[in-house]
Amino acid sequence: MSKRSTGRRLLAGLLVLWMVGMLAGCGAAEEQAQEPAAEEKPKVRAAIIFSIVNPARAGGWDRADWAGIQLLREQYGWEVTVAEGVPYAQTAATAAGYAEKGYDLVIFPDAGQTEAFFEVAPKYPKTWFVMMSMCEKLPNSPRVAAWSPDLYAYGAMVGLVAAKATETGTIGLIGGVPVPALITLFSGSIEAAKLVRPDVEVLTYFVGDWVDVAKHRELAALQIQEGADVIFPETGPGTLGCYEAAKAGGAKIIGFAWDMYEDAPEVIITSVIFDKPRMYRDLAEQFMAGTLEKKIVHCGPEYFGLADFRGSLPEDTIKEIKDLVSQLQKGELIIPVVIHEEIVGK
Amino acid sequence: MLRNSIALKNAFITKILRTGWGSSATLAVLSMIVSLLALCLCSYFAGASPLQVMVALFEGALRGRYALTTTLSEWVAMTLCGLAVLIPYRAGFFNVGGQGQLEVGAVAAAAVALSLNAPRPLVIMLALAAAVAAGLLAVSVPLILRLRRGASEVTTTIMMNFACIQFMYAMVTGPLKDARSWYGTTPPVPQAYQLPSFPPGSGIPAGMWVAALIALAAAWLMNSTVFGLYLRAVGSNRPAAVAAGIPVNRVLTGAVLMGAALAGLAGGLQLLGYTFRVAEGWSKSWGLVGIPIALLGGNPLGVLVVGFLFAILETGARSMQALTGAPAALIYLFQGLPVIIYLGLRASAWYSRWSQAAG
Amino acid sequence: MEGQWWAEFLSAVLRAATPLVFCALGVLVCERAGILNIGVEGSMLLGALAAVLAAVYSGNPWMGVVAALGVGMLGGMILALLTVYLPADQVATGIAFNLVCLGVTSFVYKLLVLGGVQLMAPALRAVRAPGGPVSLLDLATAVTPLTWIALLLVVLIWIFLFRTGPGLLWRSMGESARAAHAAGLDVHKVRTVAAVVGGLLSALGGAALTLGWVPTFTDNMTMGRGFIALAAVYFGRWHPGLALLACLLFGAGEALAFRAQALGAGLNPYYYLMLPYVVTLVAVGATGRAIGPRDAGKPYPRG
Repeated sequence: MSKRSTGRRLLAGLLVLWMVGMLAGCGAAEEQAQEPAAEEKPKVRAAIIFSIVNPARAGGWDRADWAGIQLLREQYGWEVTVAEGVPYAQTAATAAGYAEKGYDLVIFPDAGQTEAFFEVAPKYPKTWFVMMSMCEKLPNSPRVAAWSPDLYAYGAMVGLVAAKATETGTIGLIGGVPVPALITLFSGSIEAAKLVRPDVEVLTYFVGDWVDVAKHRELAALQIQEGADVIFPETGPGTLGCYEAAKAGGAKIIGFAWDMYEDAPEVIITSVIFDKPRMYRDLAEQFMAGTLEKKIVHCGPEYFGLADFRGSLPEDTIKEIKDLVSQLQKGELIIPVVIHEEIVGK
Repeated sequence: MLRNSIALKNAFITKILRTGWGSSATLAVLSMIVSLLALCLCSYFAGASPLQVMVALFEGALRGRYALTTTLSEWVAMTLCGLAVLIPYRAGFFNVGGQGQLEVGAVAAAAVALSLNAPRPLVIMLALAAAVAAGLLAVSVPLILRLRRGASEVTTTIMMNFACIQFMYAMVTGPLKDARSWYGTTPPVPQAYQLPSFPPGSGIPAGMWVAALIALAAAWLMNSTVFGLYLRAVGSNRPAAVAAGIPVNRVLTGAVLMGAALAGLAGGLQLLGYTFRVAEGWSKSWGLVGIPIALLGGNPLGVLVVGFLFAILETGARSMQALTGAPAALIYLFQGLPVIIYLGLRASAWYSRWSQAAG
Repeated sequence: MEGQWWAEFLSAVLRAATPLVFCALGVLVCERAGILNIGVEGSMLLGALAAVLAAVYSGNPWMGVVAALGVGMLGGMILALLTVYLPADQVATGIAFNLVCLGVTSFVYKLLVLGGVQLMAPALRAVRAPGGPVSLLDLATAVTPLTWIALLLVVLIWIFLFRTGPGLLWRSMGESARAAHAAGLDVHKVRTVAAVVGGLLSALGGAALTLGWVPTFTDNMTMGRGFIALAAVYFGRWHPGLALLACLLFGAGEALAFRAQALGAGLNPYYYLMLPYVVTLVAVGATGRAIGPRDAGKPYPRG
């Protein structure tokens, strides 16, 4: 047998393999995947879709979700599939893929995925779709739910801390993608800051994505140049760029949604923590008990908290901040609700 | 359902095999197998079982109607982008700008499909024609610079690539932006103008038939026509071709325009048949991956085969990551490594001795 | 305020341009010897990752620079093996190399991130003079040491290529390998050195991208900057000084794009990002034949 025909045989073999693959695929396509109802399955299969990679070490919001996922896996024994780095334009297709494969739940941790949420849920009424972020109404499907945090109140908390902590009277807000949830959050910050310190100047910039560290750094540096000495980055992995700008420019950072102290101890004064794992726990409890219903669960200020200041501010300032925050949580502090749409223009 | 076309393809392929692909195809297959093994090795370091990884990859891409549809849709773009690199390459023009041509093709198709209100076949035809035209426009600059200024098309097509991609971003965050959306995206193409699956209801994208037909047409063009002969002459020995009286510049221009047209068409087909919108992050790097596909495929039918394997990996990657923990980024390894192994082996002294011995 | 704005803008331009300058020098040195350094993106990524990891594990950013140099040399040797010794098509191997590096760096970083590696490395930070009048000295200290190294290298490479004997031989390698060989030069040895130096400089560009800007690694963080460097070399006619100018121009475009977005002024920022490429294409079209070293990209057979 000459070498030439060996080559041809090898190639023919590959082609045959390919055709077999196609046939197998077609054959599989004939059967409809009939998954039994969720309650009968021994293990709950959930999928979660992140738009960034490495969510365990990304921005605060992603870490909060990651902690929630670990909770689902460890305490409830769920099988959670994580899709990372899925751009918003591909989220609907990815979610549909999971629904097709018979997953029980698909979780959207990001308000930027709202469009996909509305697009996919009606097509797969047998699968639960859950939005773990700000949500104002639910899609047209029987199995949808949302845990919607009061981001205005969250932003207000941030504003209180920032306004009290600033010495120059200028604070900076850096957002990733200008989703409506972010506008609401920042509006809360602006109003709360003005309440505490009427002459405060609030700079708001949007980077356009959650990831580009260089861009985040440049925008934060721009804010520092304009006088901001306290910056709140509400973004994903790009937060690291803001830390670098703060280190280089002598500004301070308020961490987002999780205790971010470990990443940049020199510049982080505190973090406004968001108890997302609690939302996941509620979801798991309800799903396992079969009481999950189509509704939006509003999560108010009792889900938020402050991380340890670790002596980054003077004692009496810390005390003032904590007083204000507890007033907010008890509902004693009324902050006017004004949504600042104009900040997106920038 | 597919048995008839498979029998046809089988006969055709056997005929091609007899005309003597020789050992470079074997080498390509070998390179891909070695790269798959490398993938398995890396998965092992990631704490995943290599066998599980392979299974997850192939199952994730081929099992179930939805997965198969996705794989076939990816295959459409990969085949066309592979041809977009292959055909000009035969004439001696390295078309690195396939991705840019694809992006502007999609933008043009979107602009047409979103602004017209006319019978379905007309809109689809016009949208795809616009996509082709955009691809041609995108390659015209590097082509003219090469013909008139002697500028190496490698750098100019790369630059045009990025210019086109940034232009796409500018369009989807500006004039074509969906007013209701907060990230850069066009509104979705109306249901009426979306490409159906063919045969209807089967889930097989219509674009797949288009791509397969084009590949067969390209194979016929390159092997059985005078143009194909000229192409080979111009690409392998340009001075001799000039001496033989072949209109070299016209052949080169024809090949380059054909390639860019296919890349633009790929963009239009992906928009109308798969993603339905152009947005930040809407596409994969089909144009870039067209380069390894073209090099490993070697000819249009090879591009079909290699493209299918690459499509499997692209679709199966997420499954692989989800089920085994092996990161999806390993797919890039598989896209680059076979080319290095293949080119390296082919150029090595060992290979030239082996192929001579094979006769 | 006006002066300070300019100082900040200039330092931002230098931050953006420094990685480009290193990569452009890498490409230039290679192409002058006859090798197309398309693998610059891959080398840059390797250097970026190596720099961050070494800086994290050692606590010293300069160890990061050293690691980037080492990894760059390794990458350069691989490219040399492929493009000089075999030789295989330089463009195809370069592109494949970029893909492989993308996969490898993302993969390695993911494993380490999951293993708990510290995300931010110590950076090569500038010594800032807080407030006060803006003088040239302030500007000098407002940029990282890497920028000064880059500028120095531009001068040194110019001197080498255009004012020394060996430099002339180096350039001849790019113009006609056959003639150089006839003159007694070992084409393969010199081109191997060129590839290694090219890889080294590109990796240094990666180090500048991380340690000199934001000292962390993200997947595909180079975002095509290697190809912008390629454009800069083209635009600068393979001349170190002009390439530097081009890099500064392109760095300014990037810095402007960031600022335009923040200040809400000017065009859609993506038009600024298109700038380097459009400008280069226009320059190539308008100014006549743009042929680089004639033999660049053509493999020279062994023996």
